[in-house]
Amino acid sequence: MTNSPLLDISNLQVEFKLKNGVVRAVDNVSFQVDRGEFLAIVGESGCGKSVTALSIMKLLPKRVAEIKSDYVKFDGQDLTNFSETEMRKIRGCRMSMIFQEPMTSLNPVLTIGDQLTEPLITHLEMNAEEATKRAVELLNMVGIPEPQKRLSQYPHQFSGGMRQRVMIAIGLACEPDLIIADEPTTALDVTIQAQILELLKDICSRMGVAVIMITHNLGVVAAYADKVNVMYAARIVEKGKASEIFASPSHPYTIGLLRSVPRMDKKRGGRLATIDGLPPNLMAPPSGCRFQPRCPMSTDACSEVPFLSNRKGSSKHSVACFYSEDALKKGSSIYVSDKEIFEPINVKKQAPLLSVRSLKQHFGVSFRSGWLSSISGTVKAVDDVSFDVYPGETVGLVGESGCGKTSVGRAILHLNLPTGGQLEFNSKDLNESSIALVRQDMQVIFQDPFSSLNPRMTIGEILEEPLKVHNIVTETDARFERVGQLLTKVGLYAYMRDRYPHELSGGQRQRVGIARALCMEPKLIICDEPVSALDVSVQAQIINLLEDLQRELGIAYLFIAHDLAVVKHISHKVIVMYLGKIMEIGDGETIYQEPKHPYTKALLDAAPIPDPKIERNRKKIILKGELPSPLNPPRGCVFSSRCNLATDDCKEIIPKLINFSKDQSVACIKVEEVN
Amino acid sequence: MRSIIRSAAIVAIACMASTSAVAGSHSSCPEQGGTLKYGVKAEPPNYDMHGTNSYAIMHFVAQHYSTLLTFDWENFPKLEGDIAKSWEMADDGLSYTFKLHENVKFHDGTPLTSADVKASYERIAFPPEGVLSQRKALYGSLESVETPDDYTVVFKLNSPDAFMMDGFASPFNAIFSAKDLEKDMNWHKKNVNGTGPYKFVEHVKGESYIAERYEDFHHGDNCLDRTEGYRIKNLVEPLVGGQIMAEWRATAPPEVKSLTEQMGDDYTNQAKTLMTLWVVSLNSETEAFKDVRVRQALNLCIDRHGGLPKLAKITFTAPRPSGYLLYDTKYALPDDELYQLVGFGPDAEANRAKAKELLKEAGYEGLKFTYSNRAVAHPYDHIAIWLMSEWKKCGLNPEMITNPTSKFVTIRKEGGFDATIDWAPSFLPDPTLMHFKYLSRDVNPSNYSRATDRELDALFDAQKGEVDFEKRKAIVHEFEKKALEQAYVLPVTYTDRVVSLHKSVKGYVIANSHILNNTFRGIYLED
Amino acid sequence: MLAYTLRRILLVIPTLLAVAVLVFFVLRVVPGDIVEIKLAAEGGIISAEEIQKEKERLGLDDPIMVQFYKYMIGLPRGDLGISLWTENNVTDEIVSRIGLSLELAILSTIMAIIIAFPLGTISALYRGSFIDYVIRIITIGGIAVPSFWFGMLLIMLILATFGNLPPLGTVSIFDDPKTNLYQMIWPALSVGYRYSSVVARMLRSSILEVLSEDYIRTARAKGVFERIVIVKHGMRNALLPTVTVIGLEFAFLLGGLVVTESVFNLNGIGKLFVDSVVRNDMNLLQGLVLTVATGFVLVNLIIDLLYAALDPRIRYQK
Repeated sequence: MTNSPLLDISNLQVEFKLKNGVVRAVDNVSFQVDRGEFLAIVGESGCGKSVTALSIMKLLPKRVAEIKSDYVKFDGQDLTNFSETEMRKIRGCRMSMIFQEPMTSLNPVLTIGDQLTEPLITHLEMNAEEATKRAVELLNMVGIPEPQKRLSQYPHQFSGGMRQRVMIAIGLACEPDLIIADEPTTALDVTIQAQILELLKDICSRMGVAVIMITHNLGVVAAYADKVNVMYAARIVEKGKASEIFASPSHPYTIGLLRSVPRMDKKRGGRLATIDGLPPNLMAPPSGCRFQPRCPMSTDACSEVPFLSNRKGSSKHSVACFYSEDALKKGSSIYVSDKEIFEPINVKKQAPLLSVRSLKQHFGVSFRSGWLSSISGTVKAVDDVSFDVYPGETVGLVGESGCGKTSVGRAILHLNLPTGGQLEFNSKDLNESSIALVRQDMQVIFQDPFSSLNPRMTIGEILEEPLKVHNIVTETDARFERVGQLLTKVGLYAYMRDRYPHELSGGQRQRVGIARALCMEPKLIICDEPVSALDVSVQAQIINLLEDLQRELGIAYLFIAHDLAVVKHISHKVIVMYLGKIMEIGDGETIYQEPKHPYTKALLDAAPIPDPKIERNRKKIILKGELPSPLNPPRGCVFSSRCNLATDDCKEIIPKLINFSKDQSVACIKVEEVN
Repeated sequence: MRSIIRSAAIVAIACMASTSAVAGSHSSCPEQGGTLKYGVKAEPPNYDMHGTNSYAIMHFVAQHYSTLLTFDWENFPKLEGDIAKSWEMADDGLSYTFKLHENVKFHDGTPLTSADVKASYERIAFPPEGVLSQRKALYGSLESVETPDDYTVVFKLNSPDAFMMDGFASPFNAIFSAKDLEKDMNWHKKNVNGTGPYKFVEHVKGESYIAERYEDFHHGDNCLDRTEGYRIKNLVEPLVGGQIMAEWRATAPPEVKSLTEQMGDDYTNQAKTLMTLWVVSLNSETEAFKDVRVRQALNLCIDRHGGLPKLAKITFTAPRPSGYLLYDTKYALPDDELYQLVGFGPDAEANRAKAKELLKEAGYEGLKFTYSNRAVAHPYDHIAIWLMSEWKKCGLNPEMITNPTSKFVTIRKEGGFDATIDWAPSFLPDPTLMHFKYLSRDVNPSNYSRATDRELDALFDAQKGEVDFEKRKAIVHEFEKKALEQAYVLPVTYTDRVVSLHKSVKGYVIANSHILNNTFRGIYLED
Repeated sequence: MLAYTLRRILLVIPTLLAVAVLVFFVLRVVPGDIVEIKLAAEGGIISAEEIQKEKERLGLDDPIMVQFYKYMIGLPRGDLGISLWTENNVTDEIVSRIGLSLELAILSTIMAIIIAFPLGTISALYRGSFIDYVIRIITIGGIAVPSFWFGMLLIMLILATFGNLPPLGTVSIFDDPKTNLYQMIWPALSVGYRYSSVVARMLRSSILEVLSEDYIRTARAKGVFERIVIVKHGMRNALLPTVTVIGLEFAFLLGGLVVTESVFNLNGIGKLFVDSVVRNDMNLLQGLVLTVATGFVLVNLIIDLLYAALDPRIRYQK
């Protein structure tokens, strides 16, 4: 019995009966998980990975979801015909699940203790005292300090990372055989993500718990997974050992996916390989190979359905493609027209386009501390930040959420009036009164394109509006023409002018956002997390588009993002921020190759690289703890509370940015000492 | 003069005759006992019979008190003694002498004497500062009240007053105890102590009013153990549901219909014309209504003979055309004389033609005017709709403005209307009450037509001072004709009063006013 | 929690003060004259002089600011002046009637809750089923049908069923609970129908919303009994918006009471309200408005505190 797989699924099929049709969200999926094994299911959103997980637990709403399969064997028992009562006994006891959103996955009105002891009391029939004792152990295990005290607290008193630790504790409470983790770290910062995943991996391997991890992050897969299932449009297109998949990806989709992701560990190369188009609508999927419409290698043969078959010489690695060997051989070249990434024209020879000096953005906040008394404090969202952006250059701004990177962008745009410092744009002083004059030259792209587009206006109207308002193009016909050109330029079609925002996909909407910024012919675009809401393949398309536009039009970007790899890929210069201050600034390549600041190092260590060979041999420093309260930042160096190099000096001295070379400045006294 | 003495004497004798049958005997009660539950739609502000004008005080409080005289309800308006054993008017009409029953006791056990009558009437006629006497104006001719002995009261007048005799029977003129008034002239606002058939037990404001039989009642015809009055909104459901057995004010025709249907044999009612006249007051300060021709035209347009019978079917108005005085009462203008007057003739077409002619002469063809209505369905809306259509038939353009009571009252008082619905309630069929409404505004602020006519004032004073019936009647007729011709106030119709009763309620006799006969004397319950 | 409570209680005072000032002046803008209504409206033989005297006696002739001053200095002592109609203390007039209205309000709230909770829950758990449609029709009726009409319908129903109506004249619940309940249950039902419909619909939609929340999925994934998932995890969260609606509807109750008390001849403040409006008894009216406002504010306070008790996010708010 012990040799048989823990979970064995054969021909799993899930159909949703919706008002306007039937969606087969999972189609003939078969896979196995052994005891203690770490399986990753990867794919873009809507490919059926979450549904697969939920259908194993039978947690899909029965009203709309119909699950069929040959069998779903769990520890030898076929769950297919298990009643709800029998399933309930398995859930949370032998098989548990961790969800994506730690903010909403815990019940806000029940204490952590209550929620944590619930499975213990239900399944293990512990009494309250035993359960509490066990709960304290569990919280200890997942690294929550003062567990006794924390048990009586409510979810809102926990940070996102802490909540996810609690979720893990709940999942592990009854020492299950299998944990299914559905994008457990997607909503978290990269440093917290690293903490959580290390914790999960560590505990599971110690306890011999098998893990099914659902993720879109190939870095995470590379770092932790033993086996990988790649899903596309409800089907598994490739599966096998992680090492094999990363070393010899054989499905064109897998190849595309891997190549779409910018790599931190490689030099800035050419354009990202992008997979054209979008994943299919599962209501009416293409016949035959579902990847065929987007596949550069597709032939007529692809109108037949390719079944998963083992690659020659491997019993574990199987691919659903007629041309897998060919694809493997050609690798990423099946996609690329590798254009060089260009260096900014005449960098530093001329005056900077945007010059930021000692920018400060302080917010006064007050909150009640007692009755009738209140504490007021200052949040230094941006504190003494200086940098330049040259024409045609991309400056990347990275840091964890709350580090002040978005505030920098808003202060430059004067969306919040800066509380200190000087700004110069095009050699002209930028202040409250002059900002209107340069608005046309300085545009912005937001993270969420949907909420920044008026849902009641067509795309054409949205793009025409600024042209009309600023009298850039006065004639109606000319405007019509111009909108067409803009749409074409951002990779859309002119006929899309009549569509409304909700009729477009996320990527298309972001293209509209870019087109809207472009229509003013700006010199600088501030991009605030422009790709973080998008799937990897679409993300790559947008990044390529931004780069192409820069090459063509010479636009400078201030690129604000939390994804280190994306920033690295696109930026000439990178700024690392922490609690409103610049920790390190310099040439992108230099910073990524030789990070000097301990925070930069920690950030880079925390971000997994999508290559198991490299990833598993990295020596990592996992940053401990969480971002301190911005209201009460550590004295001295703001990073001192989490820094592994920190000494007493660091708590006293506020480090200044010191130039280490022409291309690199660091604010750290320890680094100073070393040099 | 002679006739009034004669009638007084007859009454006196009749009264003497009946006294033997009274006093403590239960012979007038076919059945004794039980609780009478009745409903009242309003509530008095206090218990002061002298200072209140609401009918609700009659329905709740009248049962506790006695008056000098009252009426023989079967032969209304024949007078009958209440606490008075006999009475006499002097030949010159300047003094009235009453002999009182000697066995009358207040509810607190003290005997009633002439001093109590004197104190009560002085409070009514000469209220001291801080006391409100609602009908003080009616007793302007009273000079003094004298008490030669404990059971004799003499009223001295400064001039003869034809109203005075009936006035002694006014249900409002309750006899209070002098001892109570000594405590506080307003003691009776919040306390009750009378000599009437039922004793006060409890008043839950807004809800119920409880009284019980007064054992020592001097007439002995209080046949019930207990009376319970309840504040109600509608009368149909409480009657049908057995919550109440009677409502004394009025039942509208549709309600009668629905009660008959739902209660069947359990339902009875009594009907009589009520002495409340619905009128339309024309604001004679407006340019158009300064012209008598326009006022007459408005009157001529109302087809009383054709319309009133129809109106009476849907609301509680009387079907018979009427002047200011209630038809068939002794001072009223006979119909044939009334029908001669402008606007009262039976030929509607001729009237309308005449109206148009008058309007044309006056230059007010197609006159636009506002008609202020009170936001109460019965009978206001019904009357308003009828009048509107009548006036439109003459080519007039009335515009109806309906307001809730308090705003309506304000508009009426302040003259913010062209025409307004209005009413002239009387509790006795006496010209002094029935014609008072039409006196000049400075004499009577309740003449909302705002007219001033000294001739009418003079005629009114003349009839008031004339105690000879025939002479008084002649003056009254002159007033009636002149006032109707002047048409400051247009009489529309009297009211038909229907009192609904559960069949077990016996011994009740309906009167011409809901103010009258509310002491529950003679009422008994039959299984 | 204590600070929160105290803060909320302190806020009550300025709110009521504002109401007091507002109601005084608003009522004096409305036309109408109680003395006219009292002495002359129904006809009657009275001189202008008498009317004037009466006005002076009642203090209606004072300049408005003098009246306002008298009113304002009375307030802190709980002295709301005298009713211009009965000349009794306004406070006494209100106190003598408020018990009944409170009983009616509480009864109908209890009734609403008793009816709404099973209806709302069943409706949500069997969404789209026949029973759900039946419940939704019943509850939409409660919202659509005016309560006076429903009250009259009830009276006809009682008449048709029992042949008579409950006796008039309120019997105290402490003296004779059976009769009292027989008298009060019908008006409570008449008010409670709308009330329960609103609450049931709110409960239904909040249960449905809560059941699609992530933490419900978490609870299910823990293998917790479905009953516990719904009651412990679902209901408590669904209660939050429902409690708000119960509180808000409690305010609407007054409107319902005005009508219902009249229809059922109940002697509560609703009927007193109608009476004082008809009589233009401004003193009583402003007392009533203040009373109702106080009630409203108190109910809101209770709801807020209840909310805090149910929702730790509010309880621990710094």
